[in-house]
Amino acid sequence: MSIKVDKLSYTYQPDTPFEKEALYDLTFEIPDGQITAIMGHTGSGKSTLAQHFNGLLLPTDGSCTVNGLLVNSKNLKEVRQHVGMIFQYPEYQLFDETVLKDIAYGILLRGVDPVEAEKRAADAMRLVGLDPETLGNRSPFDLSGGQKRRAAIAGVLVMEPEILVMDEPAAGLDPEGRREILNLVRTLNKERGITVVIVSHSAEDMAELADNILVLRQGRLHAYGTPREVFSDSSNLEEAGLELPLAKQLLINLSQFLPGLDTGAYTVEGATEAIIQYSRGEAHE
Amino acid sequence: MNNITIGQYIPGNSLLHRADPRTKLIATILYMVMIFVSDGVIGLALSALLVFTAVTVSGVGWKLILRSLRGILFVAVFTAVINLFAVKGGSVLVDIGFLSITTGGIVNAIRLVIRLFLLIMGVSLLTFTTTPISLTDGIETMFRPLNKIHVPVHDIAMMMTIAIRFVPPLMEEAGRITRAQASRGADYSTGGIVARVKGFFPILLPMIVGAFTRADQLADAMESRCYRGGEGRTKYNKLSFSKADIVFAGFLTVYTVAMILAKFLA
Repeated sequence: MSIKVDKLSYTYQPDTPFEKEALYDLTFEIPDGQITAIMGHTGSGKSTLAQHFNGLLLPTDGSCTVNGLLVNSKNLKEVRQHVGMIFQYPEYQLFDETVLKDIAYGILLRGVDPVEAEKRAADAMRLVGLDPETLGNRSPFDLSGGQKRRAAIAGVLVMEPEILVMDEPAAGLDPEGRREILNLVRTLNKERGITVVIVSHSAEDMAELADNILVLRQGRLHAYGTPREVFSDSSNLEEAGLELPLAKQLLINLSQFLPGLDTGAYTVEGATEAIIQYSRGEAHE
Repeated sequence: MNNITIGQYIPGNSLLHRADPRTKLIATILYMVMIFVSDGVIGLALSALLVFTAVTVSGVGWKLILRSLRGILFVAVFTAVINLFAVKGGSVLVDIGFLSITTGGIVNAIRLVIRLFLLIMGVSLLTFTTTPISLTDGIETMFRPLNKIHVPVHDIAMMMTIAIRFVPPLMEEAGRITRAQASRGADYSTGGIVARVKGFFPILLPMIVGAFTRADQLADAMESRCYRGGEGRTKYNKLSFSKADIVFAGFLTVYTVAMILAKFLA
């Protein structure tokens, strides 16, 4: 059970002067139960690729298989039961009278009885850190920006997807909101075992969060591996218009003055560890 | 949603693209009038010749022109069928009680479809080769004399410009919200009328909220840049007639004269 992409290509508006090839001959597999980041420069095709995972876009060529299900126009509903999708700025999808009703929208459509749906919606609210007692019966338009975003995310989580695809979930939030969302992603993955695919261009965040990193460049697969592998070669990211995590940059810069410093780490903790190790080694000599 | 061709601008640098929007507007209106005035074969052939030449010159490509015709295919067939039975004249070919088809009806139906197609080709050529902004600019300049009788020409043109300007982002937003709700299991194609209409609320509501937010922000942005209506306002892109317009007008004069001659000689 995983997402398998085979020779996938996608072209926007084929046969018009606006024809644009967005994805080209992608083949890879996203493993189950892990957090996989899709990174790339603006216009590299990240969002386009993400929309293939629940059939919002269908490949022009090649195929996408989710949990053993070949995504095609006939099984969209089934695919979407497995795969939850959170778009950029999901707060724009809020519409109902109350936060609880809005969150319950998806499961009500599935035929869950309203009382049960409300209970599950309240659970989803708690999961994203909103209090159903005080906020549940408010209009979603009265919430603050960060709360709106979390309410919209709850509206997807309530459907209990096995795979969660998130497109820049932390975009436009302040540092605290950002940290909360990223912590939520980690919790969902570690405690509920949800497979997460997260689209981002922040090497910083993904270094802390992702188990695997897939780098797209102009619609082509540029690099794919663990963060350690992908970040080990700075050209990997620079060619794709991205930057190495700051911690990694610091280690590389320091290593010019401190020969023998281990530059393998890419998180703040890892870098701290490496520097301490190095200074201890120096002290012994 | 990506298949809308009518009203879409196709970038290019042809004679038609370069011509002044006013020339093109007048040309289109003249062309429309001519098509409706002429009823002979010669008139339609001349109009077809003009529009075919224009399509070739424009470099837009027949594929898109034909696609814009597809949109009105149903209307064309429908009116043709009505004409087929309603218009009487010539000899009777089929007669089943109250319905009958005459040669006159057939000729009329064919003529109508050709007219309709020529008309749409001409109009879509206008929008294919003119940006919406320059089109409203042209309209504003042309109707400026109406200011004298207190018609707020500038305001109307500005509203049109803004409306057109916001079509792409609103379409994009509609697409995004539709996809988001579809991911949550929304389905717009099954169920009864009530269910379907209700199904649109989750898209319509966020769109309306979004449109108001945008309108608010735009008003602030315009006001903070001292926008205060049309009076004394100058233009960044001034409209001016060029060589392309002379060539264009030449063609048009020949066409009009030929059409009038065809009408009187027939």
